[in-house]
Amino acid sequence: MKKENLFDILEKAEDESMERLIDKCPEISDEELDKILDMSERKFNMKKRDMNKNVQRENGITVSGVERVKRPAWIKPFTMAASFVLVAGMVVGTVALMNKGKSGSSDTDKIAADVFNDKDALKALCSDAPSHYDKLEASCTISYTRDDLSITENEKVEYNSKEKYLFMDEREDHKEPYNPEADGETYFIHYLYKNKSTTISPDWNWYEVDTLNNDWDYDNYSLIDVNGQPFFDPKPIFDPDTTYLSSSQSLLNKDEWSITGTETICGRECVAVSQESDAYKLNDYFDSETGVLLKSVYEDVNNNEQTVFEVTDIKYNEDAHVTTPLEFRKMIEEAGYEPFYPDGSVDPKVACNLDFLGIPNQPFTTAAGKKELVTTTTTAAEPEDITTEPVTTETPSDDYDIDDVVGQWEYQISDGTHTAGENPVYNGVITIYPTAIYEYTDVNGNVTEGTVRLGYEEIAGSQLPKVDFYESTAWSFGGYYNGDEINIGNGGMSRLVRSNGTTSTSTYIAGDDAFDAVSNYCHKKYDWSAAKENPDIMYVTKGNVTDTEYEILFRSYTGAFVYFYVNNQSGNCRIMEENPITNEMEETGTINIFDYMNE
Amino acid sequence: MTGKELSEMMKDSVSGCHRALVREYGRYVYAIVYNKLRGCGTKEDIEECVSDVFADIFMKCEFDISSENDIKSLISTIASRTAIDRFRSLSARANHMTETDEDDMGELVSDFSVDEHVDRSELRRVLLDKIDELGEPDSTIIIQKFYYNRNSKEIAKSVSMTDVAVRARCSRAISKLRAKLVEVGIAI
Repeated sequence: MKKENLFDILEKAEDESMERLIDKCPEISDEELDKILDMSERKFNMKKRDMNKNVQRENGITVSGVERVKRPAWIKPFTMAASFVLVAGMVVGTVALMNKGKSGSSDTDKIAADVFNDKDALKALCSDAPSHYDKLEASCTISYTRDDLSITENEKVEYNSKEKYLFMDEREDHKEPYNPEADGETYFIHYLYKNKSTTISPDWNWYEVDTLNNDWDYDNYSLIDVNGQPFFDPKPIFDPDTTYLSSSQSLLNKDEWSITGTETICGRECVAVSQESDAYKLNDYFDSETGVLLKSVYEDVNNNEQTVFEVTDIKYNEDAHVTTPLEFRKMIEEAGYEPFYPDGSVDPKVACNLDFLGIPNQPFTTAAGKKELVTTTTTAAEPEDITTEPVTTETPSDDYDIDDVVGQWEYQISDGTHTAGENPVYNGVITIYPTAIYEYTDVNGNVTEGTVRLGYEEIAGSQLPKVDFYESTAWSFGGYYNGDEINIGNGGMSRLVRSNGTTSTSTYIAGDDAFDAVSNYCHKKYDWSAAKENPDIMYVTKGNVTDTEYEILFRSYTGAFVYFYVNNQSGNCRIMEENPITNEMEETGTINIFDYMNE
Repeated sequence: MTGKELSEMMKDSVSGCHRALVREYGRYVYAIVYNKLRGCGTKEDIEECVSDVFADIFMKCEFDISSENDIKSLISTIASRTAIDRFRSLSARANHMTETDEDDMGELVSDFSVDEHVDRSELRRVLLDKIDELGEPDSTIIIQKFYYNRNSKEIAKSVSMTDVAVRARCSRAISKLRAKLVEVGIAI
């Protein structure tokens, strides 16, 4: 018999007890009730259809027609339902190709024709859409209407599928005829690059930087989707591992949808797919060359809901403009948007540091200061030389070569109020190898690599040795080399400092030091005699690492865990334990690990 | 809602009637189904069963329902039967040897102990009485936390408090509940 806790006896309650439990049942949200309603409606429709079929059979009437698909459905505003019916017969049309400047070859014609006939070919195309273009620039609209609600969105999307950055400008107009107080307009600009998501609110004059779980994880697409799925990369529709799409948005089983023909949208030949059920109709149109979703029309018969998504203009590759990361940074700084951090626990200027977008040769605004500006003439894309304050330096040595910069460098940035030199904040580690390759490991452990180039910059008659860092062929950042320091410019906002024990001055605490200190504390506080015979039952181990904290765990011989969260700057450490009654984590004390270091 | 009112709504709009039923009785049906499936079903199982109940209710509405005076009682019956059926199939799937009739549950192996062998339904009543004695919002917090398995954040919304306050109150309420139960011979 399974072990049960006290509250298990409330199960299978009789009338009076049941009423008391019902009385204390949590409220069910409107969203959850809508979900239940949709599920119930579908089951009801199926029951009714089955009942009608039985009646017809009994009366000798042959039942024919389209076989309906059974699938759960959950519709929310701006999602596309995507279950399909089997349709007998195929539509084959002629296809006018725009094959990236090349005339259509027989292979290309065959492939293109296949997507109009062959579901596997269409699925393969749409599941790998970004591989069929380098850049995309599109305008689109989404309108959602039902009796009591009308929402219209106008979007501008720019996507570089190779360099992986995405810009989105979205304006939404919300109207509720029966609740005019809810009417309103919103305007946001989003940018995804590396593992960061930046949001600007032009109306409120702020911007915010969030760190995503990982680079371009499909779970994060839900942050930037325009229609419940990213139209420029519709792979999630076909991917069973995509969790944020409802099952009715997915095309997991090719037997459940059909190709119905072609249509031209924005001058692009599109493959039309269709779905129909008792409750709703859906028509999707995919660009036959790239697989991008260009239009989708959804109608729910029962609820009088309609959602229409449509791309109104689209350009690919050479014709497309995509805002680069540095251009986006310029947009923010020239407009003077203020950095914003929700709960105020971190200085917004530090949390919203924009260096990940690239570091310009000079600040985009005068407010950033004019000290130690860095210039470069290594690529044509970079700005022209800019006058700088003269920096006194020794005459460059003929021996200035890669060996001078090989090693590990700590990347330090400003705390928002002081320069990086005055009060540095740790921002990762750069390792330069003798092969002129570098690796940058940021505070989240993400690693990027590139190449290093050395050179000189003449300023006021002096030759200053400089170091430039490239990602692939694109210049990323650079600075003046000065022995144990490389000043990256931008008004002293960031620098590299050699981190092999000489001049590192940041207050950053290394993970190993934090672990050793916590271990020392645990050995002082707890009785370890029980672990003498069995060391596995009692130990200290490392946990997760964030931008600001290390998690370190102590396992007691009782099996209970104590969690230590060490701030990597101050050394303050929160001690958390699980309350055995409520099972909630509670803070049970604080220490400072500096008191337990070097023991 | 009476059968007559439902019939009138069906004439106006079938979907409107269905929506009204779910809004009015959704929580009620959920509580009944949850009570039956809490120990053997997942959240998805419970949702599926709730939607089965409403699908059956919608089917009932297709026929003349105007003579039904007590819709709530009808819904309760449908909900209980559907949930019990689902319990049986879930239990069979999991090779559970439990019975749906609580009187045949047998001796409890549990984290708690009682001074005497007490009828389960009596125990249930005593527990609910002691929880009610805690007053509001503590009794709601305790039930939603330990019976409905909601987390502090969700409970905070329903009792209009912060989640920190919910945790604090929960901790104190459990201590008080423990003391009250010890007085009547139940130790936890």
